[in-house]
Amino acid sequence: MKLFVNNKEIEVPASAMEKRIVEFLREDLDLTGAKNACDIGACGACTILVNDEPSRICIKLVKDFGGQRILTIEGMAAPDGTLHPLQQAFLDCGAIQCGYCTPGMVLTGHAFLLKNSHPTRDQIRQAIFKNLCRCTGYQQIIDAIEKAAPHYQREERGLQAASAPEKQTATKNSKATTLAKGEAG
Amino acid sequence: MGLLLCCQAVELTVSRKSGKVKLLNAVAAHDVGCAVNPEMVRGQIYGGMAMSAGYALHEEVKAPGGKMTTLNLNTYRIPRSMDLPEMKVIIVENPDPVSPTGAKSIGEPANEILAPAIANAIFNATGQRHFSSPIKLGAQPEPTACEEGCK
Repeated sequence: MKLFVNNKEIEVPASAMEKRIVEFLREDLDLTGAKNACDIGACGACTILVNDEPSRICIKLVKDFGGQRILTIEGMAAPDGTLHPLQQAFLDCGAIQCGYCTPGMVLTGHAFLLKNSHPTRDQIRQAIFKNLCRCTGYQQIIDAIEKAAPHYQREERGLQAASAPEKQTATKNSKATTLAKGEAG
Repeated sequence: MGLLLCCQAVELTVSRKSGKVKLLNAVAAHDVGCAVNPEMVRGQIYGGMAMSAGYALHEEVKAPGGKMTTLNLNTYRIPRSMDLPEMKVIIVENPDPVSPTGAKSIGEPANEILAPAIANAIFNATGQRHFSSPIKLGAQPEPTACEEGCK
């Protein structure tokens, strides 16, 4: 079985199939960002993204994730170590105190902003509802996610701009072909 | 040691049907002496308010017959993001002449005074005094003719 963890393909040995995936990530792959806190899926400290959807992995087994695309907190920053704008916003807003909930919070916020890049504060509150934090009172986490939203808006616009010229060239090409056909006719 | 003064205020509603308390707004003003790292000071105060709101409304260790039944976060309910209101922090800087940087403590002072503020606000809303936490409210009595008239 194969897993795609942080854009790397990983072959899972048969012996690890029945392991919980949080243990597999932490112990076998040394990705210790996802924390195993409550062990029953109540707190959200183990959240990772599976196909861009937040998932609590402390109650799930490795075999449930065959062929899925997994993103952990280690895959958020650029390969050269530059922090993702959302991580930077967490630092700038002081949204980290003990740091135990932070990986889950960043990934939940990332998944939410990918879907909704113009959020209101109430929507952010609802989005991180399932993640528990004892230190920050959530206020600065919400500030941070709000602060990072413009980056996702720019990315969204960039994607739209990138896909729009293709359409234009496509229409131009089709016109050209019709013209060519006309000339030929 | 210098005197440490602080004040927190809260605005809330009590549902007449279920007795559920919803926090709408909370403000905290703390004399921290000297805010060495203002963002971190704010974080401490926000966190303290959140914990205090938890003490006042949700958190309870149950041990019937001496056997603990609140063993994990599914039974010991700490505040989630939706339980908390938008909070505002006012930092007051009034340096402590005795401490080397002028700073005073902030971790614990922020932690304890939102619960009494909530108890007072519940008294203001319902007329009932509560002296133990968490505060459990049942269904509220129907408004009397006088109260209706006042509205």
